[in-house]
Amino acid sequence: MSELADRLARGEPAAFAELYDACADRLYGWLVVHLRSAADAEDVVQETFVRLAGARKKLRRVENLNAYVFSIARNEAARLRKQTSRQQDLARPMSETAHDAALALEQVELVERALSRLNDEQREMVELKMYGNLTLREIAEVTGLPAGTVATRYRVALVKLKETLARDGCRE
Amino acid sequence: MAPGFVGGRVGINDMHDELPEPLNRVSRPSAIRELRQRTLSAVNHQLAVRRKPRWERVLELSVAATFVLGVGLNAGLIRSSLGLVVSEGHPYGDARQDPLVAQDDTSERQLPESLEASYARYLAQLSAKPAG
Repeated sequence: MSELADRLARGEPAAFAELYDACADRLYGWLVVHLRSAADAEDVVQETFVRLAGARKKLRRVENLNAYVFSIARNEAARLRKQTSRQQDLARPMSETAHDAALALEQVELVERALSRLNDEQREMVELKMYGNLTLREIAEVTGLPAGTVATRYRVALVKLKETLARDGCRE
Repeated sequence: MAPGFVGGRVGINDMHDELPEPLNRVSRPSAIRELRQRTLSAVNHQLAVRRKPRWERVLELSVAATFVLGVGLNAGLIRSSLGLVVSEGHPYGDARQDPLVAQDDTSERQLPESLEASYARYLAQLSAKPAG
């Protein structure tokens, strides 16, 4: 990863393409759910990489590029949210953009209902884990929280999710 | 302690499999191909933006600082020159009260006594001269 960081810092376009391929899918997936808008997610992904290119010298000192990319995207998303404060149905972007049609719409709605019962912090942990596919350590880096706090929030969120899903008649 | 917290250190690396099954089956939306092209194109554009070398920025900064310093020094010099002209005793800088200016002010001053006398003598000489 440090070799990639060096190439990024030197401004090699191929290195940015490599980084994009390594994390864009997860980043975009998380942003769609986080922002509840596929269009906003696209904008944030693009802006994130442009910012990375603009401040490429700093990348040499970054230990975990994956977490760093997500933290930049998280800041961009927060900025965009302030600007637009768009509220859209979570199920829509998921069902619109999901290429895997295996998941029935009712299951999406079930998950959405379960997620909506979490508070913002817990929900962010689950979204980053589930859609961003980050480790808890990476989530700690992205959110700036201690790893223990992240783990606790995540665990509490999982318990709530399981309870909700069990109550709604979903078998794991 | 938070509900659901398992005593001791919480494992922070291997909890991914603990996602409830419906969540595991939710497919993540994947980034579209067009977005890749658009993003990488924007990145390439950003990379192509020429950053000025350090020496060039230092030079620009020096020129700007010199200019500001020059303007400042000039302003100071002008102020001090005015200070020489305006008398210290007249803080409002009323030039008419300056002795040099007052001497030169002919509007409120009569001709000196000696000049009037010499003019009278000149007229007397003229009148005393025989005509022709």
